[in-house]
Amino acid sequence: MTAERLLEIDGLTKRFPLPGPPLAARRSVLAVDGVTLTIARGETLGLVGESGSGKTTLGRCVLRLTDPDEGRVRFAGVEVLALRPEGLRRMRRRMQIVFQEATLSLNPRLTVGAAIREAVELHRLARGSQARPRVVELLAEVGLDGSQYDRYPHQLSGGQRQRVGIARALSVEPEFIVLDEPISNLDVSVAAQVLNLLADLQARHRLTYLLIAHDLAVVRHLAARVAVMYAGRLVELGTAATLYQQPRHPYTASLLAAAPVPDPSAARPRMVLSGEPPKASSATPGCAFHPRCPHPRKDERCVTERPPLREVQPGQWAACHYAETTGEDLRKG
Amino acid sequence: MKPLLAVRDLTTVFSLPGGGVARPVDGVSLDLFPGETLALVGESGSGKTTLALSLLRLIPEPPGHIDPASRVELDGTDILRLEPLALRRVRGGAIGMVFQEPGSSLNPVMTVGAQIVETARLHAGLDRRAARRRAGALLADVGLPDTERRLDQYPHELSGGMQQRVMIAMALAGGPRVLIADEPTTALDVTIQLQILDLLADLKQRLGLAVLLITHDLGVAARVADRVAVMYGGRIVESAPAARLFERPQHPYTEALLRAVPRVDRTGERLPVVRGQPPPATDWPAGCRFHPRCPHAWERCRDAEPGLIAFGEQVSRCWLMDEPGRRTP
Repeated sequence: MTAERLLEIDGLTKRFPLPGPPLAARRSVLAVDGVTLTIARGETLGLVGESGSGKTTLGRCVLRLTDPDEGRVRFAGVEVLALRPEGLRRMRRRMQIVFQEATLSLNPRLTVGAAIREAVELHRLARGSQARPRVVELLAEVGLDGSQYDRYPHQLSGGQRQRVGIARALSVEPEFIVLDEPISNLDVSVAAQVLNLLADLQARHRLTYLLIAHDLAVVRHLAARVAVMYAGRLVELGTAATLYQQPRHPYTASLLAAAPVPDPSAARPRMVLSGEPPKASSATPGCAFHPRCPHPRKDERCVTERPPLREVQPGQWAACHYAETTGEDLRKG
Repeated sequence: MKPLLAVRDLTTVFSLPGGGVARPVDGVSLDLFPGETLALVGESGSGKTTLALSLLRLIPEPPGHIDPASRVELDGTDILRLEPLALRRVRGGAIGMVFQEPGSSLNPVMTVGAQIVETARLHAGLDRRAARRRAGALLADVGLPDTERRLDQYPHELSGGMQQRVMIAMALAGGPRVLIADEPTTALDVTIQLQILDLLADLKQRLGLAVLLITHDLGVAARVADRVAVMYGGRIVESAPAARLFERPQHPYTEALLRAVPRVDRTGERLPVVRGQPPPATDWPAGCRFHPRCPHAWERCRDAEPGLIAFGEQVSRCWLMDEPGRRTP
């Protein structure tokens, strides 16, 4: 595959200082811990993790909504982290974000039309009398009709608000969109509509997505490749086809087993993880997952030696010393 | 077997500021048996949470009121007709409740122990020392080890999963026979969600509880429910033993919901969607409340609302039960 690499993330690290007394040596939280990833143009990469895994921080660092401490981000060959304000402003036309809570990201005192128009005019994509028809066109793209133009966010349903958030992101004709939990607050029937809409828009505009989600099910419907994060680290990366069939990291296997499926007869491994994800402050020299790991081969090495992300089989990487035998006991049993 | 909790024609009405009324729960009947988990499944606006609150008369009155013809019988006693003192004894006593957001249901300025002790003293009539022992035992029961230390912690010192365990311990402190859990795992991560669902299933088994689990998540229902009831438009539209409902849903709404859920065990095909939006409680559609969104609807569905039509242990509020030939492929 020689697809163009649109986004390259290399060794990205972000620390947040912990609150403490002034002037004392501040301890910090490693929210993102040396993540390396690439996304090809036109691709959807799913990024999955539970709360505190660092997935949202990673998405924000890529767009420089948060400045990372270490690492590189290249977008179409441009070093994003080196951009000055003017260059960053131009870059933001090419990279957009759709937030989880459309309610919070929309200004409650701006009508839907004004909110989208603001973005269109800021980037000088349409002006004056051309702005309104362009906004109506964008509303149509996301399945809303022109009558929504003069409405306020609170007059819309959750699904409609999320569509407005998507229209706003589309308004600057971006190449790349970070979708940060785009359906996690929506009802099932509405969520399915939004997922299908995202798929349609991607095909129509050849968009590239980084789809952030807390569960593997949502990602399965859009993403060809999936990355799993735990405690700030990338623990598995692979094509959807292999990762769902044969997860190589025990955490991915546990997430798959825990995912609720509306079918009591579905044959699924019964695996209840004990404990909770670590506080990111309690950095361990070994594998961050080892205190909860159900892998039968877990040993001293997992406590002392950090497993690198390595290719376990073609197209599938996992950060586990014993990735080759992950799930073996489950498949046998 | 007699149901422990029998709900008959429960209707909850809210007066709106503009003069209209909303009927979020509209003539719901259901039975809950000891030792079973009944999952009540619905999307937002279906009426499931108003139903849960109405069972214990926890809706604000006014603007709300429960229609006088409604009955909620716990072992033959109608809760809706209890005097205030007796009602308080049922709430947190015979019927325990667990809510979605443990963080906002727990008192932030009281230790975990003090909150459980309060419930244990109120409902079980224990003295302070016995109540503290009981609180410790309850924390161990809900899988919070190191109980002595936990009792003296404040809610903010606990993770979301631990807070939900504390909520469950509080719900158990009054020695309930019925546990109503309203979206108990919605705010939790999946691996923690599974721990809490397992805990609920285990408690049901050990204590012989009757559990009413309210959830929007069909996957959660599939994991723990013995029976499932689906709500739409303030009504129960289908109910059946869990295995039966998931294998052969009869109501087109249930069917559509099941198909619209993204699943880890299905590949990325396009999700079949239900067109349109759920109706508002101020304006339920005439006829079958699902007919404007139903792919099978015909005149009869617009003209008259079907009752719950039974097929074995499965009931569905749909004319297709009468005229299966009308089902469009």
